[in-house]
Amino acid sequence: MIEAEPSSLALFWISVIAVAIMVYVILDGFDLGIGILFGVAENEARRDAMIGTIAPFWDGNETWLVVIGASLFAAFPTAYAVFLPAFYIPVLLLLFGLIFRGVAFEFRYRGPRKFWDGAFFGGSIVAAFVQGAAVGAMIRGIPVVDGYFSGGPFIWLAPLPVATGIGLVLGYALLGAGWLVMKCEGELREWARQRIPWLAIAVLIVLLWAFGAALVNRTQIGAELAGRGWGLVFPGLGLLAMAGIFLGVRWRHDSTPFVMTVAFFIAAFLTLAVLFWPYMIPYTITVGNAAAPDKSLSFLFWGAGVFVLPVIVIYTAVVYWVFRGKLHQAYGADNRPTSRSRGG
Amino acid sequence: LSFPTGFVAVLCGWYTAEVGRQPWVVYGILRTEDAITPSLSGGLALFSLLAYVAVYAVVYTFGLTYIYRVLKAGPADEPESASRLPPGRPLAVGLQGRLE
Repeated sequence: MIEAEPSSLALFWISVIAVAIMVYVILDGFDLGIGILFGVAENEARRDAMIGTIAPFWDGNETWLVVIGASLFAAFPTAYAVFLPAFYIPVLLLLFGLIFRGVAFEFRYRGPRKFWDGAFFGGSIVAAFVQGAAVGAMIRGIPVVDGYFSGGPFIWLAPLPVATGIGLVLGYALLGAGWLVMKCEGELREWARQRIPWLAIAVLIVLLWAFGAALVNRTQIGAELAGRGWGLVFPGLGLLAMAGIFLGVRWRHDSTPFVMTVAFFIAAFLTLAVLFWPYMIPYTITVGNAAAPDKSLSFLFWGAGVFVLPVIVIYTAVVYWVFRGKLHQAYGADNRPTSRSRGG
Repeated sequence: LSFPTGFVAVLCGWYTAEVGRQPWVVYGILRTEDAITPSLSGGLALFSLLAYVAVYAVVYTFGLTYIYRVLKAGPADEPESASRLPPGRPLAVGLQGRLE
């Protein structure tokens, strides 16, 4: 394929997608993380409080996934046409995971609670795992012939994608635990805080293993790394952020572990970006090659770019501002709906 | 008992539109057989269809049961107060700030 230089509109849209992925991973990361921790929360009061910390945010967080999908579809149809067939089953599982966990927010107050709590936990784990597995499969390489996906339906079940999938489940749980420390008080805060160091260590181990496997699987990654030594600054920052997580736990700062985990995720994302640029599907399809014609991109820019994106940014900011601060205990455990309002 | 008929009507309209425009996926421009993903096998497509049916069957069965329960109970005698809202719902969290 001839390498095309990306136009400035294509650069605008790839930046939108990059930022949206980052925002999505951080925001939905912590609420999926809550879902993952939900499975190991031993009692119901704790679970109610955990759900309470994310109730106002979670669905807004998931709109960022729609932003990613829609921008990819509209602005980079070639990449979209490779990505979705390559991850046909994982995307299906992602949707099912999100469906079950989404309805569980409402249904767990009405009906067999154990079942919906299980759906919330299972849905969160599945969603997190397939996202991580997709990243791993991209690192490992997606077979592409003539701009079409040419591999089998299970490329995401190779060892490296499975490792990154598990890594992302642990990483999201870490974000979730940090969120709980920041948003809660008392017993739940302690419970979450105790789990942070273990999760952080597990994330590091899985990532190191995945990094090694990536170098073995894809020699080009080593070559890119050698050519862009300055990019090593990002993994370095990631390690510093990791250290910050441990210090935040030790000093008992409530917001530090979460903020540092966010920094760690950003560093990891930028590391990947440095390795892959200018490719969208490494190392076969570049940003310039995948972009739609400039006419479509500018149409998108004046509609979605100038109007829709700012609206999403504004309401996201507003909801976090309105629901800032700690969630108080009284509204975590008590206040069950009465049997009357549950219906009879 | 008649409340799901609205859903049924919407779905029927949808199917009419989808079936009616075959064999085109974009009418007059792109045929469905030319638009299909090259790597997608029939088995995989069937699997995803069945999986969707299964997931929706579960979710909708529960959803319809809950809606019928609400309908049977009828409107509440008194307006919902903050203390009756289930925890973990956005409204409950929002009211909390105002009550303090």
